[in-house]
Amino acid sequence: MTSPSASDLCWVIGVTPKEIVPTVCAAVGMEIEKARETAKIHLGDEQLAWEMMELAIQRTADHLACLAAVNVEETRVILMRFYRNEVRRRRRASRKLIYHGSAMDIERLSSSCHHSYACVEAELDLEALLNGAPDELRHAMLLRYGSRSQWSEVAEVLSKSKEATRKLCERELKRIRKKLEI
Amino acid sequence: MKRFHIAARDDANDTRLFDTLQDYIIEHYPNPNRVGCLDQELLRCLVETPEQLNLSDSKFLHVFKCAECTHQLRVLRRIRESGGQRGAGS
Repeated sequence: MTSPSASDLCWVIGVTPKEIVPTVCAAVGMEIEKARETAKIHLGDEQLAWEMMELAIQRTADHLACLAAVNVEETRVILMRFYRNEVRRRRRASRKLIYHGSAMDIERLSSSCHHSYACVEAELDLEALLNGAPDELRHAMLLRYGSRSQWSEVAEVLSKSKEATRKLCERELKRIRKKLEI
Repeated sequence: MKRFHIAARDDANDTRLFDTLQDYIIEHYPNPNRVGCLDQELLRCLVETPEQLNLSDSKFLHVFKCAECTHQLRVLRRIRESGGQRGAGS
């Protein structure tokens, strides 16, 4: 299928007033290749250039109707400004609707997010965990970790039974076992 | 089930848990600039005479997030266990 010419586009739209038709046609003819390239690069389909150029021509004609006579160069600038606006509009719209990639890409991205999240989750920050904990619990964990006192010795310091002392720390011990997978 | 068997191998003092925790902290919390570290004397007291310390002070929790302090505690405990006189920094 052959591409419509600049005159065809202007004729289809029915550019008015008639005096601006030659100027607009000339501007379209000079910019159409660039417009196709832009459509191909930014939207991945150069065939969209005709549709967008039609809209740009219409807007240019409406714009020029309110102005005094302009030359081809000025018309080109105005035309391409409307054209680029249309390209931007379509890019924005397609960004909201289209995911560029395959389902495998989604899986890869999703697993990498999950992995990062898991790393954060996996961090074992006992300093933060114990910061708001009751004094007895902190004492017990510090004695066991720092001094390597046995539970019976920790119990003596806390004036508790060995079982009660270990029970006091049970939740933290479970948390550590879970995080360290032991 | 696997975790149960592994956990079951730990002793009544959860020694394996605290050994693993120590290795974890040494690996994950390097602190080469010694930011927020306890001084040597406090670490020695924590190992030898913890009852003399006010362990309610949150500064002691730093050892749970410092490879250097943890390493020093390990050295100090070895010295305590051997009855030796060497400095912990050696």
